[in-house]
Parts: sequence; C-alpha cells; structure tokens
Amino acid sequence: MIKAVNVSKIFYVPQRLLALSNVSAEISRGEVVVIIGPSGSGKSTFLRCLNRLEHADSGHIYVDGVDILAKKTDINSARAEMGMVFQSFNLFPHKTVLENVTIGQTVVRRRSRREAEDKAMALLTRVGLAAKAAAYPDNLSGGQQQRVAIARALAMDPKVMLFDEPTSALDPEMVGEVLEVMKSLAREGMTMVVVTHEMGFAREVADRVLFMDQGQILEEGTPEHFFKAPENERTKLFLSQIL
Amino acid sequence: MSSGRRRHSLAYELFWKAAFVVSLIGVCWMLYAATQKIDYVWRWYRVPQYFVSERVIEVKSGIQGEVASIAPEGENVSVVVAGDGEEETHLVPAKGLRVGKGDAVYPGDVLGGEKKIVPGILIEGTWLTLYVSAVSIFFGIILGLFTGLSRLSDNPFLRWWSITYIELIRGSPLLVQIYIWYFVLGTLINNLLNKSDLPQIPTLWFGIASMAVFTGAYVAEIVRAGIQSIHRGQSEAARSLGMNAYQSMRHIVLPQAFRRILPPLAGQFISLIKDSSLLGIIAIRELTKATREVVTVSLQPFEIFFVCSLLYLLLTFGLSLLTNYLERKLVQS
Ligand SMILES: Nc1ncnc2c1ncn2[C@@H]1O[C@H](COP(=O)(O)OP(=O)(O)OP(=O)(O)O)[C@@H](O)[C@H]1O
Ligand SMILES: [Mg+2]
Repeated sequence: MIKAVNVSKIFYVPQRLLALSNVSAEISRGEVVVIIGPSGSGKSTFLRCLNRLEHADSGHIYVDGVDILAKKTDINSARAEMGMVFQSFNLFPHKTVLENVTIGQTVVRRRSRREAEDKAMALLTRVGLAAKAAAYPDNLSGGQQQRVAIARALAMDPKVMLFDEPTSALDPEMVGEVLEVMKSLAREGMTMVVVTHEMGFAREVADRVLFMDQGQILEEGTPEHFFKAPENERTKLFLSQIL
Repeated sequence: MSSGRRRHSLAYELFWKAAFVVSLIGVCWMLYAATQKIDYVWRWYRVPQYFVSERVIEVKSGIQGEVASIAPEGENVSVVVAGDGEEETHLVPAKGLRVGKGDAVYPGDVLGGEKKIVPGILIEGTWLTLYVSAVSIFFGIILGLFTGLSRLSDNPFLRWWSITYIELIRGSPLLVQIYIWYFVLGTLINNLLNKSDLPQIPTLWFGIASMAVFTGAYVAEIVRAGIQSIHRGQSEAARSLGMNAYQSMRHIVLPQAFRRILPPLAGQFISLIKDSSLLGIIAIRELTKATREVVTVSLQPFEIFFVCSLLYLLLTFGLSLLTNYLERKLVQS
C-alpha cells in the first residue's frame, strides 16, 4: 500500500538539519502501523512526506502504486486518497461542523450537496456528533473537534489514514473518545499510519511499531516485541522514559 | 474598551459630559467672535443655491415667420414655425408655451420655456468624488487582490513585479503620481492615440487610474498580511483533502482572511475618498475643486469650506457604516 525507499529530507532553516536520513518502510493494505520516537526524531516529517506536505529531497514514495514524488503525478488526486488528521485539528473555523465534512466532498470529489450531506451526517453519527452538525468548531471541545476532523478525512473515502499525534493536544479525559474512533476504524480494516505517544493504543491495535530517532527508523517489530524485548539501546531508553 | 475603564460616580460623569458640551460651544463661539472682529458677514442663506439651482430653459425661434401649427406630443407640444420657404419644428413644454397659432415670430423670439431644478455645483462635485472613489476602489480591490496573491507566490516573476509595484507606489507622494499620470503617461498615451486616429482618453480616467493604482498597492499589502495571518494548518488541511492551491485559497483561506482584512481595508478606502481631493489639480471638478469655484463666485469662503468638509464627513461616515454592517453580517455567518 505504502512503500518508502531511502527517503531523505533536509531542512535549511534555521540551520541545515537532516530530518530524515534514508528512511525505508513498507506498509501493507489493512495494516495499522504506529510510529513512536522522541521529540524531533522526524516522525511528523516522515508522515508529511507521505502526502507531500513536505517534499522529500531524495528517495521514492509509492502510495497505492502512485509515485508521490514524480513530477507528472497529480498530487491533489493522490492526496484525496489519503486522509490526514493533525495534532491541532485544523478544522475550518468559518464553516459549520457539517460544512467541514462536506467541503472536500463537493469541491474535490464533485459530489452533489445532497449526497455530501448524507455522507457527512452518516460519518458524524458514527463519531457520535450528529447533534453538533450545525455548530461551529470553536464551540466544540478538543475531543469533539478531533472527531470531526477524523470524519472530515473519512468523507473523502481515503485508502489510507495518516494520524499525527491526534491526541497530544487533548485534555486527558478526552483522549479516550478519540482513540475509540480510531480503534473502530482499525477493526474495520482501514490502513493506518499513526504517530502517537499512546502506548496503550499501540499495544492494543498496532500490527507493527516503528521506532524513530534522529531521522532514522532504528527498530521495528510487533508491539509484543517492543514492550517485552526491545533490542536497540535507544529504544530501551525511550520506552523506559515514557512507560 | 469600556470593560477596562474605571467606573465613576454619576456626578463625575455628568460634570465632565457637561464640561465637554460647554467647551465645544465655547470653541465655536470663539471662532464666531473672531470672525466678528474682522467684520466677516455670515450668509448661510447663500449656500443652498449651490446644492440645487433653478435653470430657465427657453426655446427660441431661429427664423422669421409665423406659427403654422401646434400639435400636442405627450408632455410637450411640437411647434412648427413657417417662414419664407423655410420651416422649423420645435419641441416646447406644454405648460410653458408662450405663442399661439398664427403669431408672427422673429429670430430669437421665445416660443416657450420652463424652469428646471438642477443639481448645484456642490452636489455635482460630491457626486464626482463619489464616482471617482467608487470606481477607483473597485479597480483597486482587483489590482490589490492580484498583487497581494502574487506577492506570496513562489514564482519570482510575479513576486518581483508585485514588490516593484508596491514599493514604487508607496514610496512617492500621491500628488506626484497624479502629475505623472496626467502630464507624462497622459501626454504619451493621448499623443499615441492621436497618431493612430483614435479618440482621446479624458482626464477623468487618468485621475481614476492614479487613484486605483495608488490604492491597489496598499490593498495588496493588506491582503498579504491578511492571508499570512491565517494559520498554515488551514491550507495544509485543505490541501490534504486534495484541494488545489486555488480551491484552498478560494474556499478556506480567503474567506477567513477577508474578515481580518475588512477593517484596514475600510480605513484605506476612507483615505482614498479624502485623497481624491487632490484630483482638482488636474482639472477634475470633484468636491474640493467645486468648493474652490463656489468660494470664488460666492465670496463666502467660511461657510462653503465648512460645508465642504461636512460633505466629506458624510461620505466617509457612510462608508464606515457600510463596513460595520458588512462586518456584523460576516460574524453572523
Ligand atoms: N518546516 C520545518 N522547517 C525547519 N525545520 C523543521 C521543520 N519541520 C520540522 N523541522 C525540524 O525537523 C526535525 C524533525 O521534526 P519532526 O516535527 O518531524 O519531529 P517529530 O518526531 O514529529 O517531533 P514531535 O514529537 O515533537 O512532534 C526537528 O528537529 C524539527 O525542528
Ligand atoms: Mg511531530
């Protein structure tokens, strides 16, 4: 489903920094992969390279057979196949909850208003927010906003969902409701790449865990492997700090 | 603002409000007293004629002869004057007809006429100021939007042109720019048009061009700042839904930027209305030039200049009411 080969990314501002250094990874259809690692290790950068919000400097990325980095690739239609959920929600504050979930469908997928609204209501019901359809994002709690953001991404019928620390900006009591939605997605067989510090989620749902540090994937394996017998010294150190 | 203000006793409030009114009256009285000292005679009754004036329109015969026929034609009557082998037909307002069938008329004789209420110089000037401002604002917005977006573009051609334009315009006085539009570009363009037997462009349009181009540069900076004030996460969210750059601008970024842009934009347009007073120097008879003409004929400069400033206040205040209304509407939606 996703294949990254020797992906590197350099930032020049404020100074030259190798944020990703020859990262390779493969994610199959229906797989849930959790990426963990210390702050600044390049997790977000890697995730953002997958839908070209950051343009990788070298290497290859294929998503569902599409070469994301090729010049002739229509990146907009490629992105429509990948849902992205951000740490800071990034809902559109000038649109209602319902409009947030329909706008992509009508503008990008060219669905009729009617069809888009039906789909949006179904998704909002699914994340438990049908009653908030007419509200504006600013009037919602963080957990509710993030669930709307997930519905917004799902409305495009994506083949992959990318999550960048979806619960890090939430108050502790709201983390659960968002994780529940993500777990149900995973159970339904959605292909998911999730950057998170929620080890419980990783243990329960992940098929595979990748540990990143200093722009590289240092270790990968099943959750059991990670939580029982990590091999790399830095993995051990990281896990001992957060568990 | 008022939330941060201290609450005072009623007596305190009343005292200082009264003090305000009294001092306001005092300032006006002192001004009046000063004009009395120099024996200035206030003649406010002379002002209204510059708002509306009566004009007598007379229809005169061009030939010698007699009135051959009078036939009604709607509100008017058509009068045929027949002379020595020549004939003339005139349209005269029915109410103001002053000849009868068979009357002898000589060249210059009045066949009929009417009094018409026409707008005075000050109203014409106000109208022209409004017109010039509205048209300049319209083109200024288009120019500013395009330039503001170009300023943020990745393309160096667009970016450098927009920077050049913005810096050039903001770096010199509007007065000089009006001179350049009129004396340099105007002369060039109209001479070239003349050489190719094309009609000339009237001065008014060089005036409008100078105002629109001037405003466009400021609008561009307002637009740029407005767009940059919208968090990057917004366009990233839009783009990751698969929207292209245009769609993300159109549906997500610009609508949000517009709300923040509106107040500074209104300020810019209020300046524009006031700056249009400079157009008098290239013989465009907007409100200020009209006022100066009225001063010359009426010899009542004090009244007329006050009236002029009140008319500007009316225009600018109208515009701020309009933007307040728009702002409230935007917040509701
Ligand atoms: N747009 C950018 N410009 C410059 N440097 C950046 C940019 N984005 C990320 N970086 C740098 O690249 C490195 C990797 O950043 P990244 O955001 O991928 O880390 P992360 O693993 O997601 O960390 P966190 O857990 O804090 O989110 C960091 O040192 C960061 O400062
Ligand atoms: Mg991150």
